[in-house]
Amino acid sequence: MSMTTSTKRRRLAPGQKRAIDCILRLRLSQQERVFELVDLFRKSESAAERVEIAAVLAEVLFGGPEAVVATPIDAEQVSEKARQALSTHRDYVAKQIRKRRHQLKMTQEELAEKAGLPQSHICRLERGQHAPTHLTVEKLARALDVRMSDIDPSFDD
Amino acid sequence: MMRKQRKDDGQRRGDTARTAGRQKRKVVILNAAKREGHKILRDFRYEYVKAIVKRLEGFGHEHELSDLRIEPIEDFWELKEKGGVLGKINLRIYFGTVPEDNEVVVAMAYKKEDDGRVPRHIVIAVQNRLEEYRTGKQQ
Repeated sequence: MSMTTSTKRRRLAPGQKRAIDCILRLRLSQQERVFELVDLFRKSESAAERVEIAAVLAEVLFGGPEAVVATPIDAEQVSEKARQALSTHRDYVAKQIRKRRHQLKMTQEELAEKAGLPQSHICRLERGQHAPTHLTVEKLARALDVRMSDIDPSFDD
Repeated sequence: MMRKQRKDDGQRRGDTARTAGRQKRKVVILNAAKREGHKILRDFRYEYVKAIVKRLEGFGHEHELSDLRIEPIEDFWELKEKGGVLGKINLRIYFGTVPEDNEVVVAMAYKKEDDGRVPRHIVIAVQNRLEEYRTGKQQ
């Protein structure tokens, strides 16, 4: 009788076995991540953060290879409408920069130097080839002495 | 012959790599990061961010990317963008590199609620994804 109890005690419940197997099949670096995440989860006082930590924990424990399949950025398909809208936006920004630069009788080189941007970048922006980033608009607005929204209307100053 | 080869090479590189003599990196995005990106950004904004991320082809040539906010975080990088087209979204793109393949790997898109430090669990998630990706490539 005591033998049976002892044997029973030595066996893991199916759930326990799955959990152990799950951790043991991980690489050592991943096991360390799991323990750190559990610790972060325990210490977190924010419910939203706990949800995020739990999601990362689940990903490390059960994440399949599908999550780390990669696609070249060029192969990413976005709607034609979105592509067109971005092109229109870039053209508008390009026109605003060119217009203001001409008003100030500046060359692209002069603007580039004043804004702290490469001349090649100014050139691409004025040709509508680059989407202007927050930092670009900030630097250009300062150099051209206008508000950010004068260059890119999506900024509210 | 040499001249012809150079011309062909230049044509293949396209406009942004008018960085003659420099090899463009291949930018790839992990499925998980793609899903996160689409969850945070609608089509137009996604396209806008995609155009910025595509410029990471020039990563390593700081002059090319001087208008991007990129900071190192442990063994990967963080690209920050907010305002303008993104409105109130404070977006972070986390990426790493696979030097042997000259690749930039976009591992995560994350909407940050403040300008503070990257949460530790996000660092862990990015490191795990990059490690999984690199391990998968070796097999």
